[in-house]
Amino acid sequence: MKYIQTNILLQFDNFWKLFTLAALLRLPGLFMPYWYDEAFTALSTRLPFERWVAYLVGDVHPPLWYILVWPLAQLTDSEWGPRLPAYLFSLLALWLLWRIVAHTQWPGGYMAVVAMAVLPFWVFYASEARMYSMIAALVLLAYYAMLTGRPAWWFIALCGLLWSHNYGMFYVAVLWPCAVAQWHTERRRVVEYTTLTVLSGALFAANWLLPVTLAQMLTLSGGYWIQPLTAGQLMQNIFYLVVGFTVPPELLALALVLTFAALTWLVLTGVQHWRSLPYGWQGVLWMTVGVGLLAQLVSMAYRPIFLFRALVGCVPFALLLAAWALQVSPRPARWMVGAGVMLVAAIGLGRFWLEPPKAEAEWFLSGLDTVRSEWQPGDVVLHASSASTIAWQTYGVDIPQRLATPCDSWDNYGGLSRQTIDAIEIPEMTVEDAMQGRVWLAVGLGPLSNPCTKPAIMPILERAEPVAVQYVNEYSISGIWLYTPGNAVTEYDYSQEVVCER
Amino acid sequence: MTDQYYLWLSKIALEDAGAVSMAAFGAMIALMFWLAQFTQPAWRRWLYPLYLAWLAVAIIAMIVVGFQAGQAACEVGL
Repeated sequence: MKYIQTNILLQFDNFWKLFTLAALLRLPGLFMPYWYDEAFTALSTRLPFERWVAYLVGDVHPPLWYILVWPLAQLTDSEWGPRLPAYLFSLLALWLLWRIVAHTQWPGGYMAVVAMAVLPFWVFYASEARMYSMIAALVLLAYYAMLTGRPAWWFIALCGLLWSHNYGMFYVAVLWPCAVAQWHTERRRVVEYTTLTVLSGALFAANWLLPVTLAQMLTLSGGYWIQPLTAGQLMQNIFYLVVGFTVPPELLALALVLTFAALTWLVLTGVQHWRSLPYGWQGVLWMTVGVGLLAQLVSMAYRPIFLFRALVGCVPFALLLAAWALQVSPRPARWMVGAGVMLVAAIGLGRFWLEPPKAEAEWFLSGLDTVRSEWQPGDVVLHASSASTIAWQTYGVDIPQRLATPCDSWDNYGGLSRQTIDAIEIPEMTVEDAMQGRVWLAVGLGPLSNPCTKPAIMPILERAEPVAVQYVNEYSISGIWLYTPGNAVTEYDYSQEVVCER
Repeated sequence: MTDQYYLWLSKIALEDAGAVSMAAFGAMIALMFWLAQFTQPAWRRWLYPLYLAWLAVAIIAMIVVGFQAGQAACEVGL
């Protein structure tokens, strides 16, 4: 080993044991059914090139993730294909954090590496067919490149961030001052890193920002789904970033209390011992809070864009600060905080495996089996709105589908844009025309759906029989119903549809 | 916006209040333990066991209430 390790957990053999454990913990998630955003990724891999471009231009993110996923998804129709890059990036992020800890000799850093290996937040995103693990890996790669003086990797990481997610701009804006501060005594290095930062930004702007991102901002100007950040959401977001969102609702209060008790202890201890903070702590603190601050500033100036999962690249740095604060805590406190965090992590991991959030798709897949087994010639699947089209096009593309003609404007918060729907190429059909024959009605309406959609589909919904229902309550209607011409109107008693098995 | 949207916002507000309360409760627990280290050793001999016993009772209470509240929330469609 090149470095003299200060802790036995970070010795080469022990790290690879931890790495193997992390790899095993992340495996089961690769084979679970997709949730909505993942199905969006999977569907993108099945479109021909021209429609693939149109599909993505109608969405909010730059294309790097979709470019990486495409060849892997050609190898298999199984869920693990589009998820494999996330799995590999998650493990790469773990390795990079280990290298950063080893390089900086960060006090207590081994605890940050252990936390990243086992916390449910990281396990979840390692098996999500989205770009978040990649963002974490690229941020850590940029930081490691900066620490070790590798400008080529710095440039690649920054370009990768800019092409992965709109938050990439914030990450670059936060990473650059770190590099300047790191190399402020070496003018040549400052010029080098600044040039590469500006160059990566310019390349991004020329190829994606100007022609596409501005168009995306205009497309979404009427209907972006993120709500303004409140104090409660901030607390929830911090909790999600530390622990993840797989804690069962029954234990959520306990998990929140334990997590914030641990965090408060660490902050108080950190403030108490701030004079013993390790070298480079300013950069680590800036990486922890900088992106969130920028996102909140933009939210106040433009529109709400604060998205907790996009802060995934800040979490490793928060873990480093937490690990240091734990290291300087008295031994009993260290054990108590560690035990509390591990208890919450075990609860979250247990739920992830035993009752995974992604298994919400199970109701849909069983409904799809019913549709296939009871399909009759002339039947049609009618989507009440664009929300249900992604899952159906991913898992049931062989079944003829129509989209109910939108009731007025395309002002559908959180739904697909007109461009993306056009790229999927689902023909439209009015509710009246559909009611001439048997209809499998696919509904995915939430509180942010277009207000006119529910009244528009009521003539068919109130005469249909439920096939597979996910939600029917005051806020959401989600499920599959079968309409047969001549059915009488049935009064829906929504309270009867709520199933409580807990 | 629909009535559902405003109903949903009120649910979110309820969740917000819950999250802030739980975070504040957790912060208070940490603050109690943290402040205890500045007390006299004689105080600490009984303060820490008292805190730990109280924490154990609070954890059990949160588990019991959590399961009851989860069932109640599900039955009203939350």
